[in-house]
Amino acid sequence: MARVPLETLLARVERIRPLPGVARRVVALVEDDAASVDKIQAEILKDQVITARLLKLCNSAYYGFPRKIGAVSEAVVLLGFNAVRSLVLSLGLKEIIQAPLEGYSMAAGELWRHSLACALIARRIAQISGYADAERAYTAGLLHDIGKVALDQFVRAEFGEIVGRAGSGEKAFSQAEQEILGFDHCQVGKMLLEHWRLPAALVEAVSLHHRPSEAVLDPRLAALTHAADGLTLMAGFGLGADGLAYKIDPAALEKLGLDTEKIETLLGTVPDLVGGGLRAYED
Amino acid sequence: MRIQLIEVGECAVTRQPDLVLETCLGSCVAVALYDSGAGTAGLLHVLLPRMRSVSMETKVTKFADPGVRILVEKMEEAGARRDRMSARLAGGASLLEAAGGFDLFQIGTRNAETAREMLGGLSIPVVSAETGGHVGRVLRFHVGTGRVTVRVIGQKERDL
Ligand SMILES: [Fe+2]
Ligand SMILES: [Fe+2]
Repeated sequence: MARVPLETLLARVERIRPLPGVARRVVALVEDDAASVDKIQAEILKDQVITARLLKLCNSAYYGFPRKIGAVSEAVVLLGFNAVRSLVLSLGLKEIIQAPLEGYSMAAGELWRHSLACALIARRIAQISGYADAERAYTAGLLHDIGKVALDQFVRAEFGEIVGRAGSGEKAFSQAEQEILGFDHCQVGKMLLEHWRLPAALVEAVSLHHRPSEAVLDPRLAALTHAADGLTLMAGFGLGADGLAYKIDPAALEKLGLDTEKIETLLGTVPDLVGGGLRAYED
Repeated sequence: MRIQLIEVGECAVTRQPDLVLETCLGSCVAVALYDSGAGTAGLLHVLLPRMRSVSMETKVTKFADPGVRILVEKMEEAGARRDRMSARLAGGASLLEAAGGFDLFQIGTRNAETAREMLGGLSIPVVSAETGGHVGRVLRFHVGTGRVTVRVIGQKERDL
């Protein structure tokens, strides 16, 4: 038994490469009622790399705007505050989650593929099931497995034992993490997002993405994140150790009004939705 | 050895002997076709069993029907012969608890069944398969030798 002491874990969480400043500031700004196009543009323009990538993305075939977007302010007006936050957060996250996660058997870039796929699918589920804040759904999908970045080195040390419990297909990987390390990547994701001061409903959805029925703040957001994660794995994006014995909770699908036909239709859109999204974010 | 990732819904046919085709499977099913005489390899990544409506579809190879037929046609165009082709299948995991109203919702199983039916209809034998269960799999197809391997996380890569 190699339980990870809480202090060790917290120290590790604090040492995680932080989101780029621009992403943190834009997130905070959009949550703030005093946000304006000028303020958001000013924040984004402080980071030349993000500015260039944002404009490139907005002008990609994936977004398909009929005319060229030349200024950040135009992008903010056209897409809206929340969608711009999603873009900036995605660009920032892509920077910090590229490294391979050996403990989760994920090659370099695979957590990014998994996260972006889940975000795009979560947004689509929000639209289908009438969840009002589609960008919040996107954000939950994007960040749901972020705890893996911090927990990876500990999982790696106990990989054999964890997989030994999960590998047979009877027990979810996160449950095996919990039993052996005393923490799973959901709880660690919660610590990380609290450390980044993200909204409580979002933190809850991430911390309960494997147990959505326990959510109280925003049960639909948790259900949605869980369903999106499951569909992402069904489609094979970023299959790491978390893809072992993953089971989708039917109650979550019911809560979202997703039946077999809706799910099949949704899955059918995944190659274009996610394939196109991943290509748009390629450098 | 060069690895080429085959994305969900894609269909690839190649004769480049140094190439390894790789694909990641949840409930999806990979159909790996090989004609050793021509050295032609084809890989299809099936997401859903059948196309429901024709009009809107951009990528019909994501469906077992008609994807398998398209794969075989592409193989033939590349010089392979149907009577020499053999198939290997992997994937088709189930990620849904058999509970509530979702008993019938077995996309993985139906993907594998439909792929088998399609292959049967074209008289192509399935020489090996590893489908079902609750685990994701990574399949690799070595074009030069026709060798196909499957790996479940935490387990050794096995020949299929
Ligand atoms: Fe997870
Ligand atoms: Fe996940």
